[in-house]
Amino acid sequence: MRRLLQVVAALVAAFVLAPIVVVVVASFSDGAVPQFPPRTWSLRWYAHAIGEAAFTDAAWNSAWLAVIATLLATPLALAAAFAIVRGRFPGRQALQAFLLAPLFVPAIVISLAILVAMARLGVRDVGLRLVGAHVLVTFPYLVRTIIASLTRFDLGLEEAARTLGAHPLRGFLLVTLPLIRPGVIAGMLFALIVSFDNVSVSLFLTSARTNTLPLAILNYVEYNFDPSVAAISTMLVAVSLAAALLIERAVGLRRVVGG
Amino acid sequence: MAEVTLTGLTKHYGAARVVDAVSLSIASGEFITLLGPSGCGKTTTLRMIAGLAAPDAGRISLAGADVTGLPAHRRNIGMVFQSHALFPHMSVAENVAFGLRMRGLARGPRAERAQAALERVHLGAFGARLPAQLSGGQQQRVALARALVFDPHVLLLDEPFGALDRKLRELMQDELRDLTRRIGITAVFVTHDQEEAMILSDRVAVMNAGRIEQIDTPEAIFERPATRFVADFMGFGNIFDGHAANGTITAGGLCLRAAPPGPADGAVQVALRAERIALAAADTAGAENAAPGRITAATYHGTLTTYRMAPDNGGPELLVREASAGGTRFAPGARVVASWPAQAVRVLTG
Ligand SMILES: Nc1ncnc2c1ncn2[C@@H]1O[C@H](COP(=O)(O)OP(=O)(O)O)[C@@H](O)[C@H]1O
Ligand SMILES: [Mg+2]
Repeated sequence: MRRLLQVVAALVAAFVLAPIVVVVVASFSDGAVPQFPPRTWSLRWYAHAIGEAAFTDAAWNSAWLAVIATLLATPLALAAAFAIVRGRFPGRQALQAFLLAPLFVPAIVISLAILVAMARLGVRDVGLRLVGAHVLVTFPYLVRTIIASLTRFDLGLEEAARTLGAHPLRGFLLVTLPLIRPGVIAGMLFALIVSFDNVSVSLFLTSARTNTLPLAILNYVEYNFDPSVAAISTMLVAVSLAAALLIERAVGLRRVVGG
Repeated sequence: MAEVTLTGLTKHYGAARVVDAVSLSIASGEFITLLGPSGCGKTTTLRMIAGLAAPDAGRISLAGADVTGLPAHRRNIGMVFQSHALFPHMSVAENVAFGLRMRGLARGPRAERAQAALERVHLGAFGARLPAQLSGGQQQRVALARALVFDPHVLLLDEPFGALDRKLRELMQDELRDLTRRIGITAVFVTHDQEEAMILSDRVAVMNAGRIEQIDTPEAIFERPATRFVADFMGFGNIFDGHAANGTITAGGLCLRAAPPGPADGAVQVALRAERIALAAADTAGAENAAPGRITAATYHGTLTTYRMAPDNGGPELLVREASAGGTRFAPGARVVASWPAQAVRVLTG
């Protein structure tokens, strides 16, 4: 039984990882089209990708967008998680479900909703639209990880700080925050990845002049089929992997992804 | 002068009155224990003194000043929790210095005083460790040092040794008693363990369902309980409803003579400590109280052996506890005579 499970797990992993492996290997092709395995190996499509302004500009946009959206969403998520975990008001469960809803609603529905809302609010600036939308998309990931760390936090520690003379705010800063910090950091890394990877929401909001990296890639493959896209994708995989490792170091990935 | 005064302190959770008009005056330097079964409101009372829970009615004063409305962080109270509540991300020294830091003391003197406090609990060499690197007993010592380092008005302790094994608990009780006496601090201790209360306290307040049933010295509580609840909680073992006439109490088939002055005539409740009853195989002439009967159960506990005896004249069984002397002396069915001094018959008031 155990062996069987291991075999199944290995097959699933292979199935999931195979396309990525193909892309990574093909990115080192020398020819004009991606080959698997490459007949001759080269890094020239990496150079080409990095030299392509459409990619580098979009990469900067995506990076800035991810950082700004995460920094804006984090304090909001902290406040929301606090209200849900510590609050004593009716409908806390409902509020939690509502705040986590973007995780479960189809991305295309959310994207459309944001587009309509932005139009109604008269937000014309593409940058503002993107930041607003990405705050919304990253927010539930942050709320979820912060709720998880707050739920585990021992309230007795805050009470101890108060009896020792700490104003509640000071107790929060000196005791609560340091102890939930791993969860907050993990949530922020998650939010960065989610924002950086996002296609569906950005697709509705970007313009010809302001693009994000995933959309730039999408545009590029419409007209070109050279290995530079594989090179870009490989670099993205590397960055995501690094982030996942950081999360693992901070709290353990299982806590963030699972329950 | 009273250091801590509680007046009519009352607290509800939902419809339940968890603390019910508790009034208590604690002298400076006094060690008081709130003793009672789980759920009787001890922790809630302590939390109200600390400012962690707000009373629905009543007043709390500390060193003559009314602090009822004062938030916890401005009360200058030291508290030790059952779960020790040490900050896991701070070193032992930082934990102990926390209260001084909150009071604005500079780093240098802070470290010095924290070190002195740690030495007082025999942990002078452990300042650099994290709490998780200490044993349970050491953690509670750190919690004690942390609660005392800023010279609080009063020290509150909520079942601090509940999680420790028996040997360690006894050691910690001795240390706590010595330390609190030495520095002369006023202390309120909470426990459900009557022996712990006896060992530590100047006075014990026995609580039942949110009320203080009796407050007195450990000896008085143990020897002269006022109410049925206290007698039961102090392990008297024999509590009877009876009727008094001319100084003699009848309870079922038992006839009990109390020491003068006896109870007024009418219905009474009496308590008789199980250890004060002696069992003999033959009649014991000259006993103030004696009842012949038959052993119905014998249980060997190690240090003690307990017997149940059914008196020949009927009525309630007697519980007898005696020091085991080489094993069980009587088997079930054995005929015995139980006897006890009049002085051991305790007439209860409620
Ligand atoms: N925060 C609370 N909410 C609701 N009920 C509580 C709360 N704290 C304590 N209680 C109830 O109040 C009663 C007394 O509790 P407590 O003071 O902790 O008793 P003790 O410390 O003597 O065991 C218990 O029945 C307990 O369930
Ligand atoms: Mg308690």
